Amino acid sequence: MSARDEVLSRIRTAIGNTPGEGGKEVTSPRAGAVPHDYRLRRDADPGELLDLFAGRLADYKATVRRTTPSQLAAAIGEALTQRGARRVVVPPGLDLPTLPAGVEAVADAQFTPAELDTFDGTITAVAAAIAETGTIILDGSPDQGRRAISLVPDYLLCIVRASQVVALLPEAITRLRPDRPQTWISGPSATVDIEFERVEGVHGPRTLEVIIVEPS
Amino acid sequence: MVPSWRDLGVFMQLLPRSSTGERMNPYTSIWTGVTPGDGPQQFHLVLLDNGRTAVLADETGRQTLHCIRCSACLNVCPVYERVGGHAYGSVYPGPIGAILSPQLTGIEDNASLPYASSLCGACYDVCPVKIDIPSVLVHLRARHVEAAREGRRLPRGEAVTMAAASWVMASRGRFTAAQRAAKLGRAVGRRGQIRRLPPPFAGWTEARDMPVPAAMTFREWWRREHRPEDGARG
Repeated sequence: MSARDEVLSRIRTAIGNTPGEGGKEVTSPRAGAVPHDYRLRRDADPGELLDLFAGRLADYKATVRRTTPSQLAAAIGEALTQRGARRVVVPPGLDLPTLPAGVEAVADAQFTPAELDTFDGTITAVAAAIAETGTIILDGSPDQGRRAISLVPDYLLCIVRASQVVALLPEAITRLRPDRPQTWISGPSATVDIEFERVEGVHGPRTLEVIIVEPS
Repeated sequence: MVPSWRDLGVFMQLLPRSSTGERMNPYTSIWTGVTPGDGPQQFHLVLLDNGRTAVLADETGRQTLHCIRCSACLNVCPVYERVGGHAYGSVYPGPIGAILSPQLTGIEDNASLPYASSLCGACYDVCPVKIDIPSVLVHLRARHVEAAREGRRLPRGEAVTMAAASWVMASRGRFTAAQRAAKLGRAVGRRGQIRRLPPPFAGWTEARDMPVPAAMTFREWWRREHRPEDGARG
């Protein structure tokens, strides 16, 4: 008997469900019957949705810029200049507009964590964003790259297209693929787990900046 | 374990709100095995029984397994506030630890935990998955008493005392008589306190004083306050 069989058999005994001895087949008591009668979506007009998203991001101490496709390059340039970032790492599949002179965007070449640490920051796209919780989600697609590039450099600049923003978390869940490696980010990395003392830069960058690109 | 990817959404919302009062926790990583070129290239997930099927077998106690480790019950618990995490003797402190540890590693190893509660119910109020912690605590106290009774030829002093109390309280006449007898204790009190009780109650006063019994019982007081006015009786 494998350990797996042993554990499963103990579970059957524990819930008084022994197949072949007059008991019912072992099924989860709630299999197929989980009620989804909580808020699954919220209809909001696009402007209201983006206002909510930007407000929640700002509330989490992220810097937010709103721009249009034609102004994106200028917005990125402005963000990097204000940050003082000259050399940033980008995913190989990210289609960036031409950046201002003096800014070097280096495509990720499987850099080691130590090498990544020498960059001034990272620019990535996102997979989805949630307005109500101010959350951006990366899933490792070509325009977002490996998890390490979004975690090691101390400054993360995310570019979110307006169509990627949903109102509620359950809406995002239905848009995401569970088999992708995901990182959900709500504001700069911080924890209050220990004695409610806020410590920043625990899981990832201490500075998060988001550029929202709205159709012009 | 949740049934489906979709159901994860429920817990992603419950956890941060109940844990730190945030809308969402700052960082959440979701992994599905390995991703070529991204992160570890070998992934092992080990599921340990670790006493959980024993918890599952207890119909009252099994709800403990619903815990999502949010810590809301710790933050609201008046006992935890006083004694802190280490006092619980395991990695699970607070009210949830008081019901989980005895079930995982045995009541004998955690005999004081089910009693480390005033049963105020604040933990049940805040629990996002509605674990009725006070009921499980009472259930575990009963199991502890039963376990202590087993394998003894003579009952413990506590069991004798409880049986006597039960006999006294089952009858109004006996209870009244006991209250009257207790008033004799006023004679040994000093400044309203009794420093030392005689056996078998001596243990009670080892670490604290006992207030002297009241001069008048509640029933006596009630009778005095509600004495019919002369002539009022119709």
